[in-house]
Amino acid sequence: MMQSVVHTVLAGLSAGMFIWLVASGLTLIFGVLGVLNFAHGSFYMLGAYMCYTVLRYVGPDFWVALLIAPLSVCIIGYVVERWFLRYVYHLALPYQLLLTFAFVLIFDNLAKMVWGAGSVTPPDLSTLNGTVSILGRNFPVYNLFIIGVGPLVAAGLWLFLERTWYGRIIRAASSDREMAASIGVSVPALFTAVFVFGTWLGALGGGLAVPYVGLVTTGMGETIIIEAFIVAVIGGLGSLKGAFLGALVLGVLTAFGTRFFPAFDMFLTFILMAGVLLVRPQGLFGTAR
Amino acid sequence: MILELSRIDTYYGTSHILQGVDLSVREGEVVALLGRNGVGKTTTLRSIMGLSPPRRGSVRFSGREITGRPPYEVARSGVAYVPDDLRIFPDLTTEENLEIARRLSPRKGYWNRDRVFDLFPKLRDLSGHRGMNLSGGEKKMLGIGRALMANPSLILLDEPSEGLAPLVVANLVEVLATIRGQGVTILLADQNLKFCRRVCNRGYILEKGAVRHSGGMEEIWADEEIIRKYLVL
Ligand SMILES: Nc1ncnc2c1ncn2[C@@H]1O[C@H](COP(=O)(O)OP(=O)(O)OP(=O)(O)O)[C@@H](O)[C@H]1O
Ligand SMILES: [Mg+2]
Repeated sequence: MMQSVVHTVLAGLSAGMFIWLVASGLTLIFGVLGVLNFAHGSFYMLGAYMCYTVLRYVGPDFWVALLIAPLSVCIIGYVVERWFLRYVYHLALPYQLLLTFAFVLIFDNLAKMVWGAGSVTPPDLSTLNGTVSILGRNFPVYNLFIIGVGPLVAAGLWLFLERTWYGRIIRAASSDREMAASIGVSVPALFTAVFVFGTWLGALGGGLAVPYVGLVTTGMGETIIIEAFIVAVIGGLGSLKGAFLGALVLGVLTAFGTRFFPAFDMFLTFILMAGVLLVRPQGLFGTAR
Repeated sequence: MILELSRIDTYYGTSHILQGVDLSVREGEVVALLGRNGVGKTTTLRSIMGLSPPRRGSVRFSGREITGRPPYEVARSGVAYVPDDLRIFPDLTTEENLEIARRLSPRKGYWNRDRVFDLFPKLRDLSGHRGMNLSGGEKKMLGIGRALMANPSLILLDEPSEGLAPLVVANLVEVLATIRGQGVTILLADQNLKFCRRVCNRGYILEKGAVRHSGGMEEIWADEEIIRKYLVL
């Protein structure tokens, strides 16, 4: 029993870290730009496909792929923000959702055209592919690595936002865009930079997911964006702390659901969301607007 | 002329708010924008700053056309804006609110953190407090201090005396005199005629989005008909 519980928690934590990587970019972009980016899951998917592509055609070195793939997706993020999203900031939320949702469809179809409609399987990787025994049962080393990466990204983000000059500008602009502009912040450039950085986080998640799931499909973007949205809402839209805790809770809860009540899998998730929102409509760490 | 507005028209959506506003400010002057609620004083300041860009007309600052330039460019060219609701960055400390304005400004000059703290000694004690924890009066000081940190040549001040006790207003009069003494030009929007008389040289009176009258502050102060027609309720 103990062994089973610990392993379920560990599995949930590693799944939660992927949700966190996507939710962090989503939350950052929402906090600063005020845009809910449906296409964020697509960046995750593209990160995975690009990682696969580098592994297949450049060489089976996972770390090289993990460096190149997210950066290449950043170019796509740049194009999306600079030539499309920028023109809908002043419009109402539904238009922004419509545009980003259009990108979900576009990227899905592009991925199918480039990589085929089915799934693709990356070459076997020797990276961190062993297992360790935890309470007498084997657990993949790679999943432990993922459990370490999540908090590392969280700590890095926190240090960046709280301790650096650009972090300070981002905090100022996310609380008051007009006033930031009035003291000399080039808000359009800042928005582009934050969007591209958020894209990088999502694509990094996708790249990291490649050895984890072992195959890449177009559907992976949609699954993760729904979970990331739930987490962002539970945590309080715009709150990174909330998104992080929300991702851990959702990951673990889903793992328990799948393990012990397989029939109720997603059901538990939505109960959690409804419960939190009933008690705190603004989410765990959100501020009432 | 450090600032010249000619025939600017500004809209909020489809409402035509400013309807051909003309005004000019000379270097070193303190000029008042007067008028009742909703006549367009704030909109005029926002139009200059580029926050609500005019659809027609021209805004010239220091001899350069700045109409339609984004706010950050207007700011870097030497205009600072203190909105009526102050808009202190809540997440940043007093000191960070000041420093961010200094570092974003390409301009050098008299004003720095210590000089702002000398002007508002209270702020020195609050330097580590986050903006969200300051009182209304403290935010007002910080709003003006933050504007000064950029070493602007022109400050746009919206409703500086609003909601202040008489004693604090007296202090504000001195503060503005000090700022002006350092060669900063000020355009302020305020409804308090008595206050404006003490700090301004000239005034423009707005009504329904256009300038209806302009003149020296003493002249406006003495003109009961103008006051009755455009200023008191
Ligand atoms: N965001 C907005 N959208 C639409 N109309 C607006 C907006 N802001 C202001 N207005 C309208 O524009 C007009 C001018 O407003 P403005 O704030 O410039 O007046 P004001 O002279 O500063 O008034 P007050 O003394 O109350 O500050 C008012 O009729 C106001 O209702
Ligand atoms: Mg006003």
